[in-house]
Amino acid sequence: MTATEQSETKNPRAAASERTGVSNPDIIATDSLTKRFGGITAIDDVDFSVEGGELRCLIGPNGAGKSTLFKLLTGQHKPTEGYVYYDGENITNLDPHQRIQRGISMKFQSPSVFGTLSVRENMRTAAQRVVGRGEIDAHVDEVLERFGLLDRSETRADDLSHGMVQILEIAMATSLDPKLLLLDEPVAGMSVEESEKVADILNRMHDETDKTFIVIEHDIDFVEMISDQVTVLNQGKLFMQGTIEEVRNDSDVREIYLGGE
Amino acid sequence: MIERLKSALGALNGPNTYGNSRAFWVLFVVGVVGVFAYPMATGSYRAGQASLYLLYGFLALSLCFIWGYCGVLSFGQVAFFGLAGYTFGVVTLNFGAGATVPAALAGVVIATVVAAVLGYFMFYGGIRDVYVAIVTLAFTLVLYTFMAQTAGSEWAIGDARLGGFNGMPGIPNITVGGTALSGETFYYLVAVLLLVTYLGMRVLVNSRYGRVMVAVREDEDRAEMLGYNTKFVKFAVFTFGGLLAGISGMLYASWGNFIDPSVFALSFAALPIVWVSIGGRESLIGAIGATFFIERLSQELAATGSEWALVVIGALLLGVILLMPKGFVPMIDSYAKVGLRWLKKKRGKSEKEVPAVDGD
Repeated sequence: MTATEQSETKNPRAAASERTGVSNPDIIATDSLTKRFGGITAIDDVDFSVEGGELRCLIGPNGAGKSTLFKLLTGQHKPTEGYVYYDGENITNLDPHQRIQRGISMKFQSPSVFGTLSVRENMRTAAQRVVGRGEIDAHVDEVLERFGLLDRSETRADDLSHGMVQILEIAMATSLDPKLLLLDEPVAGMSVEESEKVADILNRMHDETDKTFIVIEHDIDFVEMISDQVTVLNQGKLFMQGTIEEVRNDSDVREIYLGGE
Repeated sequence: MIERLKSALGALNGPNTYGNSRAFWVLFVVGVVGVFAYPMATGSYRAGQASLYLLYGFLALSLCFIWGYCGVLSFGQVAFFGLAGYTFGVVTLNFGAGATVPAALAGVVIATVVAAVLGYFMFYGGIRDVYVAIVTLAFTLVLYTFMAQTAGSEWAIGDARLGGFNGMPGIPNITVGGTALSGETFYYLVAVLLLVTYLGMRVLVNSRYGRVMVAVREDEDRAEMLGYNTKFVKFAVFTFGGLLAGISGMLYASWGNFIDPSVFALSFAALPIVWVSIGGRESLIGAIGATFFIERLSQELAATGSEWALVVIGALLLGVILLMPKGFVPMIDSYAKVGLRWLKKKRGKSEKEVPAVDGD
């Protein structure tokens, strides 16, 4: 495997930023990342990186490869070529659970929680790996409180509304206290109030902690609420990166993403 | 001291077991007393017969544990059962009645190791869902075919001839401290082991490990993306299931003084699935209770000379699956909860209060 040959080499960007003394090296970076499914190239030679502490949105039309990129970052997919670096370490060959244990956490595109368990049991299942026996109840209460789920804590997850399930899954991903939180369409199918609440929670976490967030989202209004920097992906390639205004006003992006108006 | 005892007893209860109420434990103690009083009422011979139903309980628990709690449907728990039985037979026939305790341990160890090896290749090889059932069943049927053709005298391990379809007769009873356990003494051995195993498993499934198992059952990808090594979890659970089935098989060989390839047959391989489906996949007590009830029933039916046993059990299985898909104990549990809530409400009304009814 080619990936192992370079396993000791550091991510060039992270190494460079260390040399220049930049305080925020990339928390995650990819190097010539490529994923092919048969004849289809889902991710095509992508060099994508996010600095520690950023809140980055990832947008692009359907089939642009956004979710595939996430799965390459978490290890659910193995790349055909290229490397993934997390915090300066080459994690290309690590299994998903090993990457999660290093501080990555993810909310799936289609909400997936433990349906027959109560909200509290869901949270405990998520948090018990990182929180000790003594503190788990307080930790779970705190996260539930933050996400407004405390009064639903004994409800079966299957009995929650779609939006609540999404919020629960984000809460579970957060309860792992990750350094890097990947959210795949966190507000899909949510009411306006619910997505505003999620935006508010994300913004607060972004301000108060040094966590890094990468958010895939179709809803441009939501993107505007949370993020300044936006990366546009199209047909498996990095198409553009810039502020939300730049992206919004770019005619090429309008062409591919907003339907050419 | 009392506090410590309380917290130890508290570990028996939790969200992953049915029956956490005081009423359940009262009934449980009554049931246990009944089980232990049974030989006094019926005599040693009947107790010896009944110990078969109890020792099958370990086999049922093994499937309940891996299928009900971890979502891995094994169609081949009887493979580990049979391997432990054969091992017990081979060791005791070579080394005599004095070696029954080491033989029992050897049987359980072999079953566990084989389960570990099979589990390793299955789970680390990425076999999931229904394919696990197919692989485990195939493994069992291969053992059946192999053991069935060992009739010739060349198929012997030391003094123990495997015997093909004729099986291995003359296996000695488990002997502890010079006493061969049979009849009611064997019954008590099995009952005590089963009680301890049941309570231990309650603690296990309600612990942090139990929560991870349930997470794997509910959504394996989600569990993995919470940082759990789901392949290892399934491997460990499957291995422990092999150990439980091994205990069962070793006791079986000692109980009947005999083992033959029918322990690897399809009809026997299906039985644990019937027991656990009827009792309730996610209920340990349901697995034990259903096993006892069904095996008892089929013995009674067989004893009347009719061929109805299989038909009746088949009908029972169909009925349970159609009418109570989760099984008997979960259904009783939900009825009991509804009943309790209704009682609470009624009592609350008579006191002119509106009580808060919890949603659970």
